[in-house]
Amino acid sequence: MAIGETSAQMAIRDPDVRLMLRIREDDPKAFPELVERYQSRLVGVLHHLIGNLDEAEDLAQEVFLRVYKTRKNYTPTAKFSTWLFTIANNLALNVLRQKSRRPSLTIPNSEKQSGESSPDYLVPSREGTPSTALKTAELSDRIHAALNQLNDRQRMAVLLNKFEEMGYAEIADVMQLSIKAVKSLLSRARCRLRELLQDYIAPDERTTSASSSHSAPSSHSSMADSSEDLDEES
Amino acid sequence: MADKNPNSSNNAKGKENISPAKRIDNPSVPSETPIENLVAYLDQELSAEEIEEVELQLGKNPVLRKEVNSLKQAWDLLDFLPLPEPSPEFAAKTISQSKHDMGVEPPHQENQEKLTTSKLTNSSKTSEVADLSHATNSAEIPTLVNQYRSSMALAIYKKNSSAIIWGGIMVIAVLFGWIMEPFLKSYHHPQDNRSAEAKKQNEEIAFTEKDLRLLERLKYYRYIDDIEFLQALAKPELFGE
Repeated sequence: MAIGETSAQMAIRDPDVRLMLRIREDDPKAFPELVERYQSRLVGVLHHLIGNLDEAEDLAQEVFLRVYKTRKNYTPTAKFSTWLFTIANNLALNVLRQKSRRPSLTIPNSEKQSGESSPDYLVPSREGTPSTALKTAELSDRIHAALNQLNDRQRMAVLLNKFEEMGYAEIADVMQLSIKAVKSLLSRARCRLRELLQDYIAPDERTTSASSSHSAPSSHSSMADSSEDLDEES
Repeated sequence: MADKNPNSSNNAKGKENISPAKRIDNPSVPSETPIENLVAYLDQELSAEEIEEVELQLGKNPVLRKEVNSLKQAWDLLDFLPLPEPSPEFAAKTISQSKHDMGVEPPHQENQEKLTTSKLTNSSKTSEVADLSHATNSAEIPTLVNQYRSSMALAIYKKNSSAIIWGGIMVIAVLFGWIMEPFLKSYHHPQDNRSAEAKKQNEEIAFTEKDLRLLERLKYYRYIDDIEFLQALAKPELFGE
């Protein structure tokens, strides 16, 4: 960073910030360009967070509409994606909170869904490593199910880190947490994922700590994670 | 997505005090390195000193190496997770929704031409109506349309308000004329006044003549006590001149 360079000047170099400034100036071509640029990333992350493509699309649309409505107040102070995902994070966590308050009964209508809800979804393969034994689609289903075992904030942190390649500081900005809390959140999330995906890790790399915790009920672990995360945040 | 290179040192972060409670909770791993630092090591989020420390530990401790490798493998499995694409109509739906929410209708090419033409032909409205000659930039069109609409509404309002004012003035003028009519009539017909004066003068003359006759005969009237008799004397047909 050059001496005396402000965060606003840094932000201006971000092409997405420049695009957002065009939206602020009511350039009619700019907003469609932004939607085109971010729709896959946003819907993808929200789909893994919410677990339903239709709801993810509705939420992503709401995020874009918020961006458009507040365009006149936009000030480039950070990377544009940080701002966009901050809006997405707030809206998504609100939706998830509402869903948890009003749990709805979902009837599985496909083999895929029933597989996800099955308690023994992590069936170890008998044919060597999972990558060779299972089809990619099946493996992705198992991984998706494992991701859903994480609590909402762990899942969001993982998705931002993995798919948006955000660093801890940026995730902290998006999720309004300290860097230390993000470090802890991701550490717990990755340990939990390792625990859930133990059967797909090469046997010689399996750790005793992960194996011993694999048999623990997942819901209990998830709840423990949630309470620990809340402690860290406070 | 490839995993990040843990050997990179140009992403140094400030050292953090890690509580003993955060260290690896596993007696089989005789390490002082907390698991958070192992994850941060994989994510390239450690300072140069911390990286050096972790790598020293990894070199000495095969169990810790296993730990790091298993964490890395579990993380790499997420690459099998597909990112679903939004439906093909998602973008169009979102864009139209944004226009709907803001109440802005995209102007058609015809409208744009009409607006531009109206600007060019009606130069008297340049001070009130938005400058549409710049409408070649389509970015300005929604704003210009709104400005044009608001300025037209202002012009109609101004036009209506002046009509009301003129109507009021007319009503007041009619009332004023009705009130002032008698005065104006007399002012415009002076001969009527003259005849009235003459009539009055004649009456006065007549009255004087009547009095004169009374005065002339006063010596006779003085001895008369009855008023009715006196009135009868005033009648020339009864008593003559």
